Amino acid sequence: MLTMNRVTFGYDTKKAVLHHVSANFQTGKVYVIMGKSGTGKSTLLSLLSGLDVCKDGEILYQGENLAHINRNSYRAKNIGIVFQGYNLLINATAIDNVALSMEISGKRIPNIRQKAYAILQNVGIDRQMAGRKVLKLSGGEQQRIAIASAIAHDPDIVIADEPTGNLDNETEQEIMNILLELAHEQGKCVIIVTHSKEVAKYADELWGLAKGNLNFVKR
Amino acid sequence: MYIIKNAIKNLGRNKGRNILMGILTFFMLAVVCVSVVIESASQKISEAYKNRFSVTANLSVDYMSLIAGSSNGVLDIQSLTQEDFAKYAESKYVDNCITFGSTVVYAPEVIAIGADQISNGVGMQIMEPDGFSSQFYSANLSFYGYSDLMLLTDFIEGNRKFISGSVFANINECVISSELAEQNDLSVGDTIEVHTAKKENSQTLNLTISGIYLDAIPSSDTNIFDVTQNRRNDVMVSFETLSQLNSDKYKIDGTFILSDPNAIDAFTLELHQKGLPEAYYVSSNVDDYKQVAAPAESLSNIVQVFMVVVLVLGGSILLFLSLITIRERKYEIGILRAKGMSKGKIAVQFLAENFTLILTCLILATSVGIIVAQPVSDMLLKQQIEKFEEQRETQVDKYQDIFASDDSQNKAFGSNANDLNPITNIPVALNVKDVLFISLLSIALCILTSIVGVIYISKHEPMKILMERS
Repeated sequence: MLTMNRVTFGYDTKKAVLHHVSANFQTGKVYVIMGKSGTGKSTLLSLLSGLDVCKDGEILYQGENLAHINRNSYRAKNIGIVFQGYNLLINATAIDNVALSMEISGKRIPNIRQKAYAILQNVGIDRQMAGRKVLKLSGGEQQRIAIASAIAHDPDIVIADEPTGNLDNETEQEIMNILLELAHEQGKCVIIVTHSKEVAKYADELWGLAKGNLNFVKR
Repeated sequence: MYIIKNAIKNLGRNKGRNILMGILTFFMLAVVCVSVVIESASQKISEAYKNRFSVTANLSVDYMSLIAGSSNGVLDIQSLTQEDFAKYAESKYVDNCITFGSTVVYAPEVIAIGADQISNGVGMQIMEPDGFSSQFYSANLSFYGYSDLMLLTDFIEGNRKFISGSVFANINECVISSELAEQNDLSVGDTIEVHTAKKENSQTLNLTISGIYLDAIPSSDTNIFDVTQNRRNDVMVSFETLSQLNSDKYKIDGTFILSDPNAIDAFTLELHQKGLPEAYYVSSNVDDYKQVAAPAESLSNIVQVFMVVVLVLGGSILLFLSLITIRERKYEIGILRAKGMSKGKIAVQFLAENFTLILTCLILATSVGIIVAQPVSDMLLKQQIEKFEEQRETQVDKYQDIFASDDSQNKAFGSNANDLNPITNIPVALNVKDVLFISLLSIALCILTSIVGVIYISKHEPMKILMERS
């Protein structure tokens, strides 16, 4: 599904943040990439989602090099990103955030708003809450909306950056259940970037990122 | 489609920011709308005055500077010839040149009015510097040639009126007074023979009387030795008839009708470059035009300046607001880019947002502008007229002091001032050109307010924006 071949990347030419990184991500699995702050976790996420392009090596999505395809379209159709800081349009309602993801994807989705309500309901956001501005919702609720927004356009890959970083244990459990369900029941490829050992427990495959190298830890 | 939908929704999502920008834009566009409407109306009126007003220029001798410059008391005045006027009339500033020539002639078969009061029955002896009067006929008629009937002011003003025949229409036709006709038993169709006064190389014209007029103005009998001074002895012909005489036998004067009231200085310069002697200056009635058109032109200038100030100031504030709000919006840009929206689509969304906001403001501002344009115009015009009246009164007082002993001068000045018909009302309306201008300006405002966002979108990568936020 998504393959990294000897990917090297750095923001300046002297120091590489990622060094000859190789990995293969399949659908139906939860991948957890662990690493301390500053090890290049977010850079890896950025490269996988096509927000940055690697200078050496290649990242292939279904055999196509990301460097050579329309990455906006790739991101809009095939990738869902869940950020630690939720990254939602705070002045918009929850339903608008989710519907917008579907509209940006350009996919023909009938009854967008009805579908958006359904997706929100699946992550525990009811209709009343869906009509409220994101700004007025709690952190846990915002993270659920962020997940709903990330999966609304039915992407193959969901990338989550510290998805439970700001949440309490109970909510963390709920969020992780949603992500596990996405991988195991809906067949998505879920890649979680985190430094939380608790999150690592949910991994189908655990990888470690240190000193620019991505190492397989366990299955 | 979703881009437009999202843009419109965004306007409602960020009410505070958009209301602030909306008020500012509305105020700017309303001011521009009012200004454009008033400015356009003022210009139209100025233009109408320009077209209606015949700006005339005359060549006059500056006696004061001639006297001041003369060391021996002799004034050296070079006469202008018909060729000079023809040359000057070729100027691009001249629409038309009306010439007027005059001389005195001797008509042997005509007894001039007042001739019986002079002992030998003859009129003025034309004197040359050599002083030999025997070389000249005794002139008994004043001979005037006009290139345009508008110069026959006595007829236009009703002081003279035809009682028989009509004005000269062909060469060698003339009109004479009823007294002169009666005294010499002349009627329409009769001919009179006139000679130029100098016997040597004297020229003769045979004139057919085309019209006889009654003169309502009493003749002046102050100079009983010169019958040519008597108005009743005036013989009027076309300039074509007069110009059959050699140019040294008559004096010529002319009036130039100019195409543009603002061209006086350029025209004067051109005439001097073409050889107009320094002793001559160009006088015109352009001050009358300025006096009449001043309120409109002044109003037009005021609104232009006001509009520019409001645009520059308002535009700067809008730009500043855009710079401030982009700090808030950059997060939004990052999210939309992360979701896969292209830079172009985000730029279109920003433009659509600003366009919707400005279009709403434009509709409101235009409506308000149309409603308030007339009262604002009337108010400004009233102020201008009051200011203008004050200035004019000051000017009249000044001239009355100078010409206190000369009633004719006062009368002339007074009549000028009273005859003026200054603009008292500017009917304002929004025309297609104005709407186009305001719309273009709105588009410029839309681009101005969007440009900061567009530059930001093109420069910053979404990941960087979102990481900064985190």
